[in-house]
This record gives sequence, C-alpha cells and structure tokens, in this order.
Amino acid sequence: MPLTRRTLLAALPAAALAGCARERPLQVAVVWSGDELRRFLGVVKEYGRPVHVFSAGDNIAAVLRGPAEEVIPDVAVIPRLGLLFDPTIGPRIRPWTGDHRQQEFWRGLVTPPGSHEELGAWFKLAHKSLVWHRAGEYTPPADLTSWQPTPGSVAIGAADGWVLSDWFENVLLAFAPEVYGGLFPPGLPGNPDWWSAPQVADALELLGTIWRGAFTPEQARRALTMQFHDSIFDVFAYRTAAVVAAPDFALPVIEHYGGKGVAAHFRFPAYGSNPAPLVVGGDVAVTMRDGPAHAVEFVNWLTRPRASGEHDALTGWIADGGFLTPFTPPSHELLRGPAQELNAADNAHYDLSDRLIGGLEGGDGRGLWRVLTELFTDVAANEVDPATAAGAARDKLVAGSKEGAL
Amino acid sequence: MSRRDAFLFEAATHHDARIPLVRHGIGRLRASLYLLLAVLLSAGVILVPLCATVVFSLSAGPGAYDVLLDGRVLQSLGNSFMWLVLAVVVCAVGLGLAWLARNAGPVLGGVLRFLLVLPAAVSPLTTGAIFRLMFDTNPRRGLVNALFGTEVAFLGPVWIWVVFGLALVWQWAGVAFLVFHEALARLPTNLLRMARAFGVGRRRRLWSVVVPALAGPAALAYLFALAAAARVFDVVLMGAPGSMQAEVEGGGLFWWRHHGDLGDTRASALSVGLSALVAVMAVPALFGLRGRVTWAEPVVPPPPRKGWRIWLLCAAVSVLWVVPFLVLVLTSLRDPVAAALSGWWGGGPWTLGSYTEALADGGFTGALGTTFLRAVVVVCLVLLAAVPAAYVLAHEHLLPRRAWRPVLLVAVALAVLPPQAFAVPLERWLSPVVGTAPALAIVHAALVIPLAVLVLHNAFVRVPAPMLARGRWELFHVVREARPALVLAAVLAFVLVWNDTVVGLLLNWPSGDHLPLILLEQARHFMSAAGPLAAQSVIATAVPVLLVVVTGRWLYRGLTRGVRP
Repeated sequence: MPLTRRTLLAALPAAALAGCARERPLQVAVVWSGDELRRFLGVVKEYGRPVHVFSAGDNIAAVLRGPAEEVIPDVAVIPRLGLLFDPTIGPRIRPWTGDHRQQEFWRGLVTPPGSHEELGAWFKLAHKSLVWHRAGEYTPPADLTSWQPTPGSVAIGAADGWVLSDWFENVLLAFAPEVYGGLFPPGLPGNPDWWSAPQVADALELLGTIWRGAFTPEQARRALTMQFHDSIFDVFAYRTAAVVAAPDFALPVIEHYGGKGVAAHFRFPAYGSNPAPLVVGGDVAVTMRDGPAHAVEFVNWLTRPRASGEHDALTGWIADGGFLTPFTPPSHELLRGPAQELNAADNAHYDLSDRLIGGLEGGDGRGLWRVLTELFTDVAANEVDPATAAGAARDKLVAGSKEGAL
Repeated sequence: MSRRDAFLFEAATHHDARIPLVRHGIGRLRASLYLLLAVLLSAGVILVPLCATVVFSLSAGPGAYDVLLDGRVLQSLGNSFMWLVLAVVVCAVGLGLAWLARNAGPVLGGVLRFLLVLPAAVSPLTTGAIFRLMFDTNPRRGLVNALFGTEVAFLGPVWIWVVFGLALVWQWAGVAFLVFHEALARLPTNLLRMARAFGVGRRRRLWSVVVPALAGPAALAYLFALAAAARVFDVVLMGAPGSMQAEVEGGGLFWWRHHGDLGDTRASALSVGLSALVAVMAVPALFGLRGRVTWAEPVVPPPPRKGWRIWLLCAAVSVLWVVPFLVLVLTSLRDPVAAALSGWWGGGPWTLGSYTEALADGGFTGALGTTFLRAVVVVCLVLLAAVPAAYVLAHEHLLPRRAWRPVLLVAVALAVLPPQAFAVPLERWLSPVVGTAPALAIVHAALVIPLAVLVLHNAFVRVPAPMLARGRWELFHVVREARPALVLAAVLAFVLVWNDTVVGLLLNWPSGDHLPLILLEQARHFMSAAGPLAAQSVIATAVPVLLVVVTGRWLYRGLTRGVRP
C-alpha cells in the first residue's frame, strides 16, 4: 500500500498507542442518536472487522463539507438526499458498485441527472405520510379540506423544524403534485423557479388554516416548545391530544412510552380528487472517495437483502418497528401497509426539505425550517391571517431559493 | 497603601512602596526564548488568523459589510446585544448579593462564596439542559410550571429570554459576587465615617467614595460576565427548542449556521462586525480599569451580624443556587421512561437505569477518556508556555510597568474575542490536520495561554527574590512560591477545555470524540432523553466540580493573592 499522508496520520497515533500494527477501523458517520444509534451499533457489531461509528447529528453536512479531506469519514449514512448532489460533497462520493439492485424509484433518487451511476445504496426507508391516533378513538377525515381539527386535538412538535416541513410537504404534495414534481423532476436537475408558482402560496395558506384551527394562541406557543417525541407523548402517554402526524418510525416511541397495541394510523388525507400524498424519506449509505476499498464492501454488506428466515440485528430492528428497508417486509402488522406503499411508490416523492441545499437547506433556525416555524408562529400564535402569512412565507422561500440569497 | 489581597486581574497602577525586589538580569536572547512558545501559539492560532479574517473581509472592498444590514443578521446581532446587556444584569445581581451579604461573617460568607461560584465550573451546555428541564412547558415535567400550577410556555417566544437571563445569572453571578464581596470588604470605611461626620450627604458619599472604590472591581466583574455572554453558544444549542433558536441566537451562532451560504468575504465581515460589537461593549470596562483604584487594607472585619435577615438571605440564596443541581441529580436517578414523562417530584422508580444507559453508550465513555486526556495535555501545554512567559514578563527591566497595560489589554481582548473571528483562516491553515487530537489540543492551549500568563504574571511579580535562589534556580523558586496561581491557571485551563463546545464544533467535527459534543447530540430528542442526558451531564459536571472543590482554597488564594502564605 502506498504511504499517503492519510495513512501516515492514522498510523502514527495508532502505532504510538498500541505499539503494534492493527487494522484502522472504518470511520462511519451517521446522524442518529439515542436508541436508533444503539440499534445501528448492534447491526455494525456483526460486521466482523473493526468499525468506528460516530454520530454527527444534524451537522453531518459540515462534516462532509469539511476542508480537511483526511478526516472525512470513509462511509456516511445520510438522511439528506440533497447532500449527495452538493457541489462540495458530491465529487467526494465514490459511486456505488454493489451487486444487489434496489428498486427503480429509489435508484433514480440517488442517480445524478444525466448519469447512470448510483451514488449510494438505501439502508433505511421512511414513510412520512402517516397520521397516528389511539386505536378506535378517531375517525379519519375524508379529505384535506374537510379536515378541520378542533383546538388542541392535533399534537405538533413544532420545536422540530422537520416536523413542520413534513406537514408542509404532505399538504403541498396533496394539493399541487405538479409543483412538487417540478421542483425536483425525476432524472433532471432541480428547478427552483417553481417556488414562485401561485400554488405554493395556496398550499401554504391551506396549511396555515389547518394549523390555525388546531391551536389556540396559547396552545401554539406551547407547541413551539415541544419536540417530535413530546407530541407523541401528548397523544399516547398524556392523552391530551387526539392525533399526531408522524412517520413510521414513531411506532417504537409509541410502544415504548404508551404501551403496545394502543396505536392506529391512517394515510395523510388527499386533496379533492388528487392522489393521496406519499412523502418518503430514507438513509442512504455512501462511500467517500478516499476511503479504503473495503468501505464499499461494508456498504454492500450493510444494505444487502436478507434472505427470508435470516435473523440478525437488522431483522430484529425491523421486527421491533421503526425501520423499513427496501427488501425485508416488516413483521409488525401496523407497518406492513406502509411498507407496501413505499414499494409501490404511487405519487411518492422524496422529502423536500432533505433535498434542498443552499439558502433553503434545513436545520434549526435556518432555511425552510425557519420559514415554516415563522409561518406557524404567525398563524397559530400571533393570529395573523393565513393568506397574509402564507404570502410572506412564499416570498421568503423565493428569496431563499435564489443562489447566495441572504 | 498596600496591595495585599488585591485581585490578580485588577488592572490599576499601584504605588508600590515596598523595598524593590532585586531581580537578576536576564539576557534578551534568553528572554525571547522563554517567550517563544507562548507568542508562537497565541500569534499562530489567534492573532494571525484574526488579521487574516479582517483582510479577507475587505478583500472585495467594503461591500461585504452590507451583510450587517440583512434583516436576519441584524436580528442576531440584536440578540448578541441582548446577551451583553444580560452581562450587566449578572454584575448587578452579584453586586446586590455581595452588598446584602457584606456582614455575613467568615463562615456564612465562605458558604455563600462556595455555592455561588460552583455553577461557574458547570458547562454552559449542562446549564442549558438544567434550565430547559426546569422550565418545561408541561407542568407534569417542568418544575416551575408545577410549582405555580400554570402552563406557561417559558421556552416559547419572549419568555425564553427570562429563562436564559436566569441561567446566565445562576452560572456567572457568583464570580461577580466574589469580586464585589472582596471589594466591599475593603471600602474605605474611615473615609466614609469622616465624610459622615462632616455632614456630607448620603448621595454625595456614595458618588465620591463608594463608586470610585468599586469602579475597578466592577469593571473586572463586567469583563468576566462579558466574556461569558460574548461566547454564548452551547447554552442556546442545548437550552432552546429548535424553533426558538433563531429568536435568541447571537451573532456567533448565526455565523456558525450560515457561514457556508454567506460566502467567505461576507462571513468574515460578519465575524468582524460581531467582534466590533463585543469590543464596543467592553469599552466601559476599560474606563473602569483606568481609574486609579487602590485596594485598601481590609478593615478589621466587623463582628458578623447575627440577625435573622442574614440567615434568611443565605438560606434563600443557597436554595436557589442548589436547586438546579438537585434537579439534574434527581432526574438522573429516575427510571428513564419516568424521567421522560414526569418530573422528579412524582417520585420513583428510583434506579440507576439512566446511568447504565448513559454508560452503555460507547461514544460517551470513550469521550470521557479522550476529553480528560485532552484537558490534561492542554494543561501541560499551557503551563509549559505560560510559566516561562509570565516569568520573563515579571522582569521589569525587560518590560516596564507602563508597557504592562497594553499587554494586559491584548490578553483581555483575546479572552473576550468570539472564536468565530478566527475560525475559518485557522481551519484552512490547519486543514491537513484539523480534527486530529494534537491540532485540537494546540488550539485549546493557545486560547487559554493569554489568561494563564495574566494570572501567573501577577503572582510572579509578588514573589520576593531571595538571595539564595538567584540565577538558574530562580524560576523554580518563583514557581514554588506562586503555587496557588499555578493551580488556578491549571484549573482554569482544565475546566475551559473540559466544558468547551464551540472550539470542538468549529474544528473537531470529524472525530466527534469531545464530551460536550456527545452531550449535545441528546438535544435531538431532549425530553425523551432526559434521564440519560441528566446522567451524562452529572458525570460530565462531577469532574470539574470535584476539581474546584478539591482545589478550592488554592483557587481562592490564587485569585486574591497568587503566592502561598
């Protein structure tokens, strides 16, 4: 092996500490924390070669964009699809050369426009168009316009920007799928001009109207301090609210804090005669260019299909819920439907906020998250007219989508 | 006039009437060798990158400074200003408490001093977590809402400033208290008595005797609070719900989020603007330090008043300052599920489950070791660089008293400067090794060295040079005599590194092995992680707190006198 600066830097402390030659662990960056991270560590432990997993949380973009190529991880499991196409990160990713093929829809998502090379392989999928409630205690609304929740009946963890952006994406995809598709057309580069389409403002107004009806100003201020898990507690532990819109990975949280068998869900309501929205997310595993060759093997191993009857930490995770994969059907009854919907991918679009980079890129206090937080505060806490607030939010989105806007 | 018991950082000129200390002349060449490491580190890590930032911000003409007029930037700078105003509140609370406790006597005074200063050893990250737990909106979990039977969104709009104000006061008022407590014990009481005898009015006495006597200490206390407020970062990341962060984040945090999309020149302009704001806010402190303050001989302490008021005050203050610690410890001792759903007053089940869960996290236990090692390495580096530098600076023929003031100003400026001001050039410069352990240790050390030189220098100049310990052994003699200051510098360095988040975030991301960064990850699901988070915070807090408790006497002596008795 040629002695590069990277290997030298890695070897010096290792040699100093161990005094003998040992394999450098594979550096794997993930975003999970808490229970999900523990689960992932359990999966990785079965790999047989040394792997060092570290959580970069919401700052994974900073890690991958960092100026020092020497300390960039060998493998990253990224929930934000947009980062794959980031001008700094994209060139640092080594295209995936795996031997198992994933589904067409999902492969298209990780293929840059005009290319045939997939950048990574999907490790985990998420269904983000679900609404959860206590079993037998709520009648799903017929469609989006007839969904007029009473104040306090809907729990929203508005402290987490991604919760608000999931709401927005579902409403936008239900209301105007053409805008959603126009922003990120399959196989083509994204087109930010669609942000100024009138449907965007209308969708924002519809969203603002629902939010406004669902909260009194005091309740809205409280919602702004509540995170995703808190909103689940409100429905399933404290039972102060009736429904919560949450992805499939809410299930283990519900069962952990509210008990097994208490939950039911329905699809996020459709708008009029439009198809029901299906917002999807997922974590894609990529290898970085400078990583060792066996980083690719690791990604293949991680994302490989499990044979039926095979049992490992991953199938255990799938069985416990909170984890959907492209291959293995979940054993939990509540998740089989969502898994099939993900495979069929009808009117499916990838989470918008996870595709955005630049001015609208998400994160606490920035980008789309901030615009939606301000919209929520305006309509629900400050009682601003939804149309006015929606107009202001749309202007911010248009301004944010322009390059170098700020 | 005597300088006994004067504060080390006190920057006024003194009339030193003692027999001049005779010091052995030290050659200029040797002197510069002694200074080399400290100067190289401070210049290389702080000054040169800072200049690079300034040059960079102007590289495309002054147009880059338009960024300061952007609405969101203005909001964040306004928030920075709010935080700096809170620094004044911190000082006011410290002064008020010191005034109320001025006759508390040595025992009660000691207890108060101890309890009030202890939070300064807690990391701002943990402080943020504690106050977020206490002020949770849900009365089932938030202590304050439970106490008052309300359901106020304390962490929501507007109220969150109150919460952070309290957090800042809790954490830093003790330091201000310490400074003012010492100052009040040395008020020129004879002068006051005389003035009263001559019929000088109360207001006039206050204005012409008390205020001048307190100006220097006030400036010092203000500088401490300012340094804390100017670097507000992690307390917001942990303490504020995501939706509220834009409402309270200062320029430093805004810069961290946006420097990528601002572009290099505008990001540099923002960090220069931010530094300028802090500098402007620090100007009053410089005026205070310029005043000729003399530390009078402490008057014979009046017999401690035995009134019930003093006891009441001490009890109230003790409870208020201990409660946040209790909240953290009690939360950590509950079952993790119970801790997520209800407050500790709801009772058990009391288990060590949260600790088991916290310690099962390999990242956390690994980071405990790495961070400890890093802190120890930094302490060694700091002492290695700062001791010779301070020793040389104590030689008056090399650096006359008059020249000490600019050195002091530079040191103070470096202590208050937000790291964002020099992070980008530094990161580029370190880019082949950024994120590696040695690089990080060197950066940490460089950031502490100015402060350490300040502390050590003030102690070294007070060490009388005995006839026998001249020459090559003089350095060892001086160090031995100034042990309290040495301990103070070492503890400061250790605590600053142990608690640091911002340098780690700016320069350490890839390795992610720094303790506060691991804690910060828990903020993703704050309430459901309450138990393990509290357990990890308790472990992370125990180390610096124990260190401060064990070295408490030395620290106090180091802060007030610097040399051993």
